[in-house]
Amino acid sequence: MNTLPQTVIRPEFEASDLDAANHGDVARRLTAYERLSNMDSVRKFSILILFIAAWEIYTRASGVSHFLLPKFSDTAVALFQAIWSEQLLIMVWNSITILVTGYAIGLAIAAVLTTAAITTRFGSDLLSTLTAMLNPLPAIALLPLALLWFGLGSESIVFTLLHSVIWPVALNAHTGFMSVSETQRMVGRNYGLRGMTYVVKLLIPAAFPSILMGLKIGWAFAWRTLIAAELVFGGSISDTAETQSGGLGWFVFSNQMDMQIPHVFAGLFTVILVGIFVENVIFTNIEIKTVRRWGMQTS
Amino acid sequence: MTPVEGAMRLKGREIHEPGPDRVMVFQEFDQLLPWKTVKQNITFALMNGGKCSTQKDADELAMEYIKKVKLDRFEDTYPHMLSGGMKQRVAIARGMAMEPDILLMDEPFAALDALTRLQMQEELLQLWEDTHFTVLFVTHSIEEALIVGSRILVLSPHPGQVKAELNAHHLNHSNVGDKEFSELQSKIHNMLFADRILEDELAAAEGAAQS
Amino acid sequence: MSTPMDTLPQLVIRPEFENTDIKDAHTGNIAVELSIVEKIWNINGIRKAVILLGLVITWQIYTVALDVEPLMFPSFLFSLERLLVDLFTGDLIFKIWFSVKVLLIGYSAGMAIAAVLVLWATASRLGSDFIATATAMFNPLPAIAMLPLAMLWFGLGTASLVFVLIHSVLWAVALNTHSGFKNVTETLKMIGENYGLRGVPFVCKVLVPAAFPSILSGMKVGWAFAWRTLIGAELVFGASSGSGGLGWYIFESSQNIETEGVFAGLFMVILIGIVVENVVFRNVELRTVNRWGMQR
Repeated sequence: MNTLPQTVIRPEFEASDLDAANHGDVARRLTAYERLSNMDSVRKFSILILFIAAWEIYTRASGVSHFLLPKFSDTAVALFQAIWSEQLLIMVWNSITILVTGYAIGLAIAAVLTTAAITTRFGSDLLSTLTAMLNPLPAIALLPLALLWFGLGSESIVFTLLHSVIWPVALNAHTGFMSVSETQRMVGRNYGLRGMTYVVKLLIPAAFPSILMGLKIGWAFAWRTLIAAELVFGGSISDTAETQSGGLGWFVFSNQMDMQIPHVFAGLFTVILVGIFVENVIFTNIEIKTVRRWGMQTS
Repeated sequence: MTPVEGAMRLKGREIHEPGPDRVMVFQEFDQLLPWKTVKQNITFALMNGGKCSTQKDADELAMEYIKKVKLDRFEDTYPHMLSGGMKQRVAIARGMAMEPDILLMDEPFAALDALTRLQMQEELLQLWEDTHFTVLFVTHSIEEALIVGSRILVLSPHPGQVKAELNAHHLNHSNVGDKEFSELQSKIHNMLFADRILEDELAAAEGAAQS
Repeated sequence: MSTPMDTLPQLVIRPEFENTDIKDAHTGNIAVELSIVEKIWNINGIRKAVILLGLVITWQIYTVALDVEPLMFPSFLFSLERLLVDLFTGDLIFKIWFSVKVLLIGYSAGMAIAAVLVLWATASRLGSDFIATATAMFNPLPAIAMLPLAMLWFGLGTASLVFVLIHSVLWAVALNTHSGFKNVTETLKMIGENYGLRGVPFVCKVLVPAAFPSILSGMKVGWAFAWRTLIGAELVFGASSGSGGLGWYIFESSQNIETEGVFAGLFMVILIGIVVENVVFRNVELRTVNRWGMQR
């Protein structure tokens, strides 16, 4: 006992003059530079500018062949040229319309499959089996088959797009529905919700983070499949399609064949811009108005 | 779920599934729908549970109960921004706004910190003074049962059966520490722990018999 | 709307009582034994295998009974036969190995670069900005779109494929890892610092395990993108020159209108995909995320 630290008993006290304590504000004003550099967008934009400047300087200074790496200024010029006089916007529109068609039909089929999956055990098994087998199959691998079945035309591409959209959307939606907490389900049933109203008013909002993630992944796969399809078969397809000008992937491919490298880069920029627009404008806005506002993280 | 034996009756009618005349307040915070504001959570119950037929009626009734639980100023906030105590208040308001035949509360204050729990017990008693609802309140805290409850059902452990029904309508926070309060508390404590001791003894005897 | 005291329901005070003979209560087991059929049917794998079998049989019957043109839609058995023949007597196995080899090289290189970028991002704000900007720009760019450029820079060959594969893996992994690191709870980070961890050991011993669900998710997405890019790239290569690989096998079969070969190739692609997702990734999950109780 005498080798252990001993309890020291100290006299008690009560502070009576707490209001008289000295305290003050320690915060100091940030300098203009600090305030600017604290803004995410400013810093990231500066990085972008630096990158462009470095690109331009490198291409001018090192004399690298403009067939390998064109100057940034040449690329910008090519981009404007393509928009004004070479129907680039029409090509973007072509790509987008096919994408939206495939995406919408894919969503509808996924909705049917998911509804079947949450109502019956057979539906759930069917969805799991189909998803397990078909989700790992790259949609682009189906394009040769689609061409055999539907010929050269946009139906083949839409068929291929369907495959890239259905499985990720159905899978994520199904997982989302399965992970709705028991408590929330009980609340819904407690207030009299049954059947379709139960699904629409309780399950769908509760599973929304997962559903949204499925929609994003479905878009990502569809976009990649579309560009790949246009690259591989853009030439043959656009010759017979109603729209003579083909899509964005075809723009990149045909310009590379013609060794118009600044146009190739311009095409890649456009692909990036479309992708950024959809992900950071459309999807992020949806996120802000729903998942973030409700404070719901993806389960 | 259909019972194997026996029946559940509310006001003489047999019941087999959840319904809005027997509203439940759960222990977990995620009983509030996160995609609806405080007021919308309550109007959701009122409109879907058939209590109100127009949005206007539902809004008015919801605001009344929001004021009762002292959350006016927060009616347009989303649940994820509220504290635990506030969330439970919303859940209680949602349940009470339905003016159900019976309000079922499953350890609603168990997940709150000790001080908030005391405050919520006070507020629940005040709410009850106002409305005189029938409430079935489940708790593991003997003290809480004595403070909040009018009539206490003591259940035995597996299988759960009613061991005793005792009166506590005359007890609240101001009686804590009184002779009568402490005696009742010890009585219930002994009832519960006698059963536990008996269970342990039985288990030990079984174990000894097998070896 | 508070009602005056006398119109509220009144408290009914009933006499108290105590039960003393609880031990004699009648209780019993009401569990019903499942029949042997129900027990077997309850196994997930059995039900799904039966469904699979059902689909295959339906396919076979449909093509044979309706005498569907085999050039359009070959029967299941015909396709299976073609697969086995090419696998054991043809050079399909080499083509598969070619695809898998290129995939592994691209995947590992992509992971390595992602690791470097993420380390930089955790160490400095500039690194964090760089990764955010770079992923925002390059993640929405399908790797396959870089293929024409890659062929220009590296010629027709494995190097182009690897370049494109790196792109498909790098941004998904970096994005998920970086956001995973950011989402590690402050509490865990403080514990690491409390026990003296800083810098690289801190990242390896605290951040990586804590963010593992995100990292794993990123790796799965990276694999999915890489696999799709590879097959797509081999199809493009096929369109512009002859080469090895599974995608090329599918393309070749479709050019020769040997539809059963196309299906055989698709079977193989599905099989590889299933093995990677349900065997490789699942095992990793079981040994890490599931065992630690950390679901995404």
